[in-house]
Amino acid sequence: MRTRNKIQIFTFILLIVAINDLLIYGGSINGSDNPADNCEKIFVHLDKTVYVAGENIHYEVYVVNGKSPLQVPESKILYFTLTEHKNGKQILWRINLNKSTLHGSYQLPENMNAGIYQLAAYTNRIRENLPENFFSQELIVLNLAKETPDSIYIPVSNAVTDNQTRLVTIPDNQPDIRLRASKSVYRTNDKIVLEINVDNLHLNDTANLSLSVTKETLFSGILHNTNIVEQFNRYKEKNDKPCFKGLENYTYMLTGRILSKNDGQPVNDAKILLAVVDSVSPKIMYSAADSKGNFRFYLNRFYDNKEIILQPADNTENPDIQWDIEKKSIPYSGSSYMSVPLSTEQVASLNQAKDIRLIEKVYNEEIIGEKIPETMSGLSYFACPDIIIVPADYSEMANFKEITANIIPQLKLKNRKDNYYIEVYNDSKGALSENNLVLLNGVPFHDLDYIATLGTRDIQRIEIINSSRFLVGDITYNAVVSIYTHDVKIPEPYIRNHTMVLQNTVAATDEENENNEYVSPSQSRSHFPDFRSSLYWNPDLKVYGKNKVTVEFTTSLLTGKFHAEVHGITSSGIPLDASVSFNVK
Amino acid sequence: MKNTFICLIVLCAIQNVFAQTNHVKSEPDELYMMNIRKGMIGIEYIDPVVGYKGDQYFNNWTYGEIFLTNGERITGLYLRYEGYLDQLLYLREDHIPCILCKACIKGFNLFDDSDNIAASFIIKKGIRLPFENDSANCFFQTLVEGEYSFYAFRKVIKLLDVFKWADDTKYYIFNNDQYERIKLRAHDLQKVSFIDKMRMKSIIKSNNIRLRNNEQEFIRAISIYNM
Repeated sequence: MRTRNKIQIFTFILLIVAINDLLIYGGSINGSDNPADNCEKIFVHLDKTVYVAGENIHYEVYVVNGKSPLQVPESKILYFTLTEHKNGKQILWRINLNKSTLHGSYQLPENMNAGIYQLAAYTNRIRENLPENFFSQELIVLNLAKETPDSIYIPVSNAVTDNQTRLVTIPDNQPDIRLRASKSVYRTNDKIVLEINVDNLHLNDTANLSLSVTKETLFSGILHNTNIVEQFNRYKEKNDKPCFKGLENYTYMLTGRILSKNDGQPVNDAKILLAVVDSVSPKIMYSAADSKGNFRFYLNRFYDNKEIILQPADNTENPDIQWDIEKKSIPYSGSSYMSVPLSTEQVASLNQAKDIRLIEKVYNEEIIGEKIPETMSGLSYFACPDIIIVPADYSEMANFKEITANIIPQLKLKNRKDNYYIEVYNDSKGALSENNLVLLNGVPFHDLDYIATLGTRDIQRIEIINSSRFLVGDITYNAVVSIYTHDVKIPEPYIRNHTMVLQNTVAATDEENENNEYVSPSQSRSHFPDFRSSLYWNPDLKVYGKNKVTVEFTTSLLTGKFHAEVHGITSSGIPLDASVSFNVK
Repeated sequence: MKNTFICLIVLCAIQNVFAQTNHVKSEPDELYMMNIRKGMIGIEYIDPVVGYKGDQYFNNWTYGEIFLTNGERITGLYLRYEGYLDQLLYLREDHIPCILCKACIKGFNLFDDSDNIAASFIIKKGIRLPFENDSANCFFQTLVEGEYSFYAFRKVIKLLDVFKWADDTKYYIFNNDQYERIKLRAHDLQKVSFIDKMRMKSIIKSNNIRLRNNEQEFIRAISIYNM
């Protein structure tokens, strides 16, 4: 009897376990573990915090899904915004995310103002749902051509602060990291050995780490350094809202509204063409706006770092159109900043940073990156023209009318009431028609007065698709006339008056561009005066199981207190960070 | 007791089903796909020959998906393969058939009414076709995929004298970069340079395969050869 009872109890327990598991899986399907409810945690480790305009910001990015850290981040785009505190001027760029840890760099523009900037990193769905979960870090940017500021603008909340002590406790049996320097005091040009251990790391677990060693600045209280453990824990505290909106899990979404300039009302039934200047074949995309004027394009990597040209698809001029493009930037809260005067020592340290940059700029070798192979633009039909004409193969002709009259019988450039129009003979219809898509260097171009001026000296080639009607989205054109000029340019007045132009800036990650790898001045072959304030930067350290990692590098001629910081995550998504300081005398 | 065990087994089975469902790769979301579909570009397809008996199409308009050379996938399209021009057609919302850019396509799948793959086509580049001087990029229907792959080029030709369309399917067997065109005959299959004649012969004999003009039996023979 007792044995029977035991079996029954055992069976009951098994039953409970099974039901429990079932509920877990069922819950996953019904949405409690819905992919859309999985906001990312983001941390960016920078190589240093004081930069000079024109210099590269080197960074390691850590992005994990909030609820499923083992999986590749769902968002495929990570945005960076660098905001100048003084006036809110923003620089925006983005990177393509394909894994949890990525390293790369961004070259700061040479014309930046000197001052305090906030670097923010976020995905689009964080921006739309949980803005408090941005990664943000204050930086100082100097400019060699401009005077060092004697005061800086900082957020009011940063004004009363000191080096914060961390109150994050690590639970037992969780991996923890230790960073140890071989000595506490080094001489200049001395060898430094740093040892990194990760305790409680499982045998088959890996820790992806990044290590920076920089001279301590006199601005640590102002710059508000964050670390990965704090950042990831903050997510836990604030993640009470699900992330359903704005997920970019395929490609970059270019979104915006098309409005009437007169009354701000959405343009009804707007059809929009997106193009880039191209000397090979047009790379056009089509989108139709909804009743509120909203439109969107999914841009794949072909469009990275290209100038995007938007214009209405219809051939009539639309001077009254207003474009409202979603910039994906974060708002600037200008009112809560205050000016803080700098001490003489702080100004001197900034001047020293500028001097070091000047030395590096003079002596450093320029590394020219190789061009990244381009991906295809998607599905278009422009690559197969029916007719290709190279006007240079014929006698010189002064304008387009002469060209069409003499060498392209399928094409007629005519004039009606002082307005030019183009007629193309469509083979399948057996008739000439006006409703054609005219492209100049890959961009839809409606200014036929300009086209009429182009002669054989200007035009490289003309391609015509006229075997059938040309279908773009829900628009039907009679034919396509694609003109390529030698200068591969679109006239500036046309761009200004008829189009909306956007710079689609994407910074390459080191995985995408091998030549983008960080080379510290001490590693480079130049024999230049070594005054590095950033002694070491390695965004790609790995610790496997119980192994430890040691890194070696040399000090520069610069003396003072240096700070080594290591950040990282384990392959199971647990954040790690540690730091150590040492002196160079 | 017995009932409890049965209940437990049933629950475990359901649990496994749910676990598997949960690991199925998620479909592209509809908003993304709708945007891609609405922006399709191509040229209008006009029937090149009118008045011929039969037709030049592999299938009726059916749902399908396209795999692009840039890695993108477009789903939920009405597709049709045209064997005379060797082109993939897409039906626009206003019912205008449209030829899609062949150079941008890596392959496509056609689905049946139950949403199962009815036919799968891929682009094969640089194929030398009979009586053609230049090599061409052709849509090949995948019949067997493996170390030794078997494809059908669903060519349709015009019979000028009788005003009829006629099926002129050609079969190709591939091993990595090598390929040979074969006819549906046992002799042709054993003659393929990269196929072990003795092994194939024994497969045909032991499995009682009758190859002559039988596509299904060819598929069976090559599938067994791949094992």
